[in-house]
Amino acid sequence: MSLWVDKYRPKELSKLDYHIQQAGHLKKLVECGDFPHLLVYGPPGAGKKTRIMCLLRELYGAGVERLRIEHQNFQCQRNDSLLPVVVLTEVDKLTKDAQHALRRTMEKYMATCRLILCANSTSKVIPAIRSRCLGVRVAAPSELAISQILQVHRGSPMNELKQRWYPFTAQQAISSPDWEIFLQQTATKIMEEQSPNRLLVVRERIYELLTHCIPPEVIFKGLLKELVRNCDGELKFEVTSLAAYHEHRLNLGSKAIYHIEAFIAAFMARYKRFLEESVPDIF
Amino acid sequence: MDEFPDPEEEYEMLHADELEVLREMDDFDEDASLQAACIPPSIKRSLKFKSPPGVKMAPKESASSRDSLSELTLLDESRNGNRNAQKRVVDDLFEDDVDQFLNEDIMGNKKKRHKPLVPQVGVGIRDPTFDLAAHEADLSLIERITEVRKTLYVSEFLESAPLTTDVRTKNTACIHRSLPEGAFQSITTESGDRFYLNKMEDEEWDNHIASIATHQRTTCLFNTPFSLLRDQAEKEQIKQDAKRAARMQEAEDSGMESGVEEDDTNKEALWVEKFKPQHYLDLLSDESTNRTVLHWVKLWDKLVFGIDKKPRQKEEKKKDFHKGKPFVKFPKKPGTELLDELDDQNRPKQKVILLCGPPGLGKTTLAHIIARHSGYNVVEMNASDDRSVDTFRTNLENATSMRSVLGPNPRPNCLIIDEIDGAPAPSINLLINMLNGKDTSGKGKKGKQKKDTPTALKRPVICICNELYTPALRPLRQMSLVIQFPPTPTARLAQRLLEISRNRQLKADLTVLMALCDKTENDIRSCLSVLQFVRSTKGDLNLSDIEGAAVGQKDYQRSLFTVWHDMFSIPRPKKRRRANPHEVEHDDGVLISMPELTGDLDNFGEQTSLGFRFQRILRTTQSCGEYEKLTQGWFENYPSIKFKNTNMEPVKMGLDWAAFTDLLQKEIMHTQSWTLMAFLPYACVSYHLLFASHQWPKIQYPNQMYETNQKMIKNKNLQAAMINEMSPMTRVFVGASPLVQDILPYLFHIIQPNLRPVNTQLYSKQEKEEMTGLINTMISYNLTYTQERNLEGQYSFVLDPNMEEVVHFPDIKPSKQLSYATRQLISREIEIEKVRRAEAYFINQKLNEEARFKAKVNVKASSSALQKKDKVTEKSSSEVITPPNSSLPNHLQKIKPKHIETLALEESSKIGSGEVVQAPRDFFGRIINRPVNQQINNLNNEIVKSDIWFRFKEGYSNAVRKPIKMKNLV
Repeated sequence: MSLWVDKYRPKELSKLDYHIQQAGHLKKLVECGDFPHLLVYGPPGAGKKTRIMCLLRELYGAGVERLRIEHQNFQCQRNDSLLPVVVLTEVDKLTKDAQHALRRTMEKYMATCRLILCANSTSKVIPAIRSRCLGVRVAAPSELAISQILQVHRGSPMNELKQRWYPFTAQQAISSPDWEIFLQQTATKIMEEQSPNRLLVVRERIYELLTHCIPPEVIFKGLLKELVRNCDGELKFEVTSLAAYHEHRLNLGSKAIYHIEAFIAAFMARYKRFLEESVPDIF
Repeated sequence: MDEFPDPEEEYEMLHADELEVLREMDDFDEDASLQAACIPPSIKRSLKFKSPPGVKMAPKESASSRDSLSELTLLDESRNGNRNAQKRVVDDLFEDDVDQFLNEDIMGNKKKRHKPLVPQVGVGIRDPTFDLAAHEADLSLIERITEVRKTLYVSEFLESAPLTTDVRTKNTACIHRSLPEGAFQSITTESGDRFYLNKMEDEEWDNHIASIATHQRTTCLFNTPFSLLRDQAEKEQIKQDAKRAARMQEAEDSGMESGVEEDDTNKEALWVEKFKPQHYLDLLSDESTNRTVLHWVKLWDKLVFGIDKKPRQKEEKKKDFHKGKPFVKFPKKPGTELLDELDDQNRPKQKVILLCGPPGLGKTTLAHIIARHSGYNVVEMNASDDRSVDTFRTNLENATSMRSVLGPNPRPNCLIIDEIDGAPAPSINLLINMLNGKDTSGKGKKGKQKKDTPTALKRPVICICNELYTPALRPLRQMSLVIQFPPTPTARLAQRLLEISRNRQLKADLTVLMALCDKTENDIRSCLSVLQFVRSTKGDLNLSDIEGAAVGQKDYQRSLFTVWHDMFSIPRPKKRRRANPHEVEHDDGVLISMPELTGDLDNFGEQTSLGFRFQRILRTTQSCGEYEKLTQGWFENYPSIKFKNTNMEPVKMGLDWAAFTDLLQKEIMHTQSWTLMAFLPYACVSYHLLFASHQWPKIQYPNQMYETNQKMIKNKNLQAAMINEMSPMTRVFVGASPLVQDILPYLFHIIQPNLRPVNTQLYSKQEKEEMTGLINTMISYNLTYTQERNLEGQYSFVLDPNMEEVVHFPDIKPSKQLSYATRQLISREIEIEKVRRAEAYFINQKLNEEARFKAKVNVKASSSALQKKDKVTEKSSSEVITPPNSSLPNHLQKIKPKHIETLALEESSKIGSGEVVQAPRDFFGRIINRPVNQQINNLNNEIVKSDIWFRFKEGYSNAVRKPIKMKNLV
């Protein structure tokens, strides 16, 4: 466990670095040994799972850290000891039908077990489930909080990264993941030229991103970020609404490539018009 | 039976004089009533007795033997008892009578009528020596009678049989023992008896026969007269004929293929069959296609004929093949597709040929002609045959491994599988396996096959299909020579049709025939059928017939490519002839519009008008039906077409439509609401309206999406594999998408430290720490390096699971890669570390078990339940992989203090600091195992107890002999 992420992961509610007040609430919540179903939501990387593990540790003691992978059927029966807790992650990826099935399960086994659901956003969780759970929002930590955490751990043992680039400078080159770079390049290509041929080139790249398991939503987001950067104020608004429209449709449909390309084509058309409109202004 | 009394009365009349004589002779005073009563039955009797003459003989002989007996008594007896015999007895009596005078009197009457029949019949009955002749005579008599009857419109033969017998019975009385009056013939039998038969003039004889024939008419055996019956039968026949004709008519109406034939053409074969090309040169299909197929079939010559029949060399064969052909300048490689090479079994590289194209182009004909031309016996399988796997296998094996031995010139088989696109996928797979020479039958079928050798295909197989892109055909497509049948040139087809119509005296000019070709889309078969149909109704064919007739059109499914083609091209207006076969003209009013939902195309104006195009595309799309594939094809092909202006608006709109169809599709599939399906074809219409151009579109089959999906699935699997085997503690915090997006890209930077590719022993402390960190990381994320051989045959170490593939993008320069040696080193270290961890785990378990055992012993002694509970909980806590020294309970330390301490210390030092094993070494770098040694001595019995242990048994060695544990070696 030598990735820093794993190494410096807080293990107890009391040791959490941010959202300390919330940690206190959670602690109180489980003090009596029982708690309602929970729906923990927040952006990726905010520490949802860390908090869940801390919570479980609070409930069951240090044993929760010894994990095994096994398949077993367990029967829920009411006894005096602690209730079993089932943790479901990525609930927002469940289909609507599955969520409805889950709703039924939650009702049926309310007496014998507790669920902790974990999702990135509640928007894709059906209201029926939302209303059955106590929502716990874990917001992304502020930059200050992050830097503080990093400061705390700087004194700890050496690591490869640190060794290579230490000491940090203000313009420290941070290597970003390949897919981000790729996405940025794609956006640049869209800005460069607006034609069906270019669309074909872009399509290849989008396919490439999709095959590398990058979710289409992330592609949308990344593209929009890059595209908006090069747009004027009013255009920014339009492009964003376009992206929102197409992303919505993406979630309704099944073939991501159509929707992404539709967005790109729509952007191209809009941008082209914008350029044509602005050309007379120059002369 | 109403008419039955007639012959009786007649008989009575005939024999009235005889009876009179009888009465006189015998002195009987019997009243007439009795006579009338007793005689008719006797007649009946005689009628019945006619067929076996022997039966009749017996009483006769007995009668003659009783000559001396008193006739009176005999008569009395007969009268009292056996009525049956009476008539015969009477006959006998007066025949045998010596009194010639009396007899002559009777016979005088008799002779007039019955003479003619006597000679033949009498001989037939009485004299076996003349049997044959008599039989012939009988026959001739029958013949004569029937002849006469024919002239009298009585041709029923059955009726003649009872008639003749009737005659015969009457004539039995015409044989005389004494000399009869008039002309007679004497006969002497074997026994020496002499009989006299009456003779008769020819005229008389004829008259007599005629009288019998006519007489018979009145005495028919049926209730209704024969003539009536005959009339009825004729009527019935006519009715049935009409019915059959109606049925045929119906079949024609529905079938459309078989032409309506009038009586004179009824015997004629279908023109399609009749004018089928008989020779290679007659073929209508594309020349180069024909050659390619022929060439391919000829490639089999070496295998088929070279081995089997003619041991001639391939070169020779090839040579005369070249000579024999009319095409002298036959190129060696006619198509880029066809490979000339043969494989190791002398089979062509492409072991099967796949002809595909719309119906009616002559694919089957071509296959048959070429197979015959090349000296094969054609075996055809088509959709009408049973094509289940087993049948298919049998047929395939039969066709390819046997040959017909019957016939004058046995030839090897050539299998033609027609309409293969309809065959089930398993059957096609079977064919493919056979082509590959794999054992076609699985293990279950082993017993069934006689030989263990795989049944490799040894004969050419020609497959014919309409739709090349049937999913079941995909594997076959890859390994076969695919020949797309180009449409027959209209001019050529029309020319042939012209020849045929001249041959059949049908007036038709070339333009009309061209129009016909257009209408049927150059389908030879339907062209011919139409011609035959027209010929059978009238003598000439003109344009209005063609345009008006609802014949010759087929409602076959349009292939995807056709639709794509239509989608991307604007139809050109055509003069005179119609571009679209589906449109129907209205001017003459005779014609009915196509029964489609949108009605007539002509209502939408000119062919180039938007309305027309809209309807046309809509219709085409609907006839295809695979909307999803259509949209995909559009999606992958539209960027390659030429745009007039670079405006992005149409693209945007088109894509909006595509996205819309996607939404619809999902909704349809999800909620099964198929009514929404009706909206799908409109997307294709909009594609057409937005993107169609006059240029010839080059359509590619859309497989990009499929390939992308495959890749995505592969990567997802990799991802899943990685996550599934991660250590649980890491896995809890890692989801699939954060892993790819946030962790892995950095992870690959992190796991590439600066390591010198030297022995780990030479590393500095810092390097060692780095190494340990790296290895821990990799293990916790379930990564390692494995050796793999790449395409060039070089070995390299790659990540396993190869997440680099998932994370790395082609355009971006990959970050620094570790050298081969370093990777090898890391992989080795990972292995060692894994072994070490596993061992530590097992040692711990063992210790725990021991502790438990000891604890039990202790418990026995102390017998304290509470204590026991404590121990159990303690035990469970000591199950932790890295057991800290302090966690051991006291009693354990007491039992094996030294052993546990050292072990635990070692473990904790190893795992805690993550150091590579560093046992004390001597000057040469050898490990000094002193502590272990001591420990082992202490634990001797422990080692012996263990599952594996080593011992030198023999030989001499000056090496220090000492037990070494695995963990010291790794």
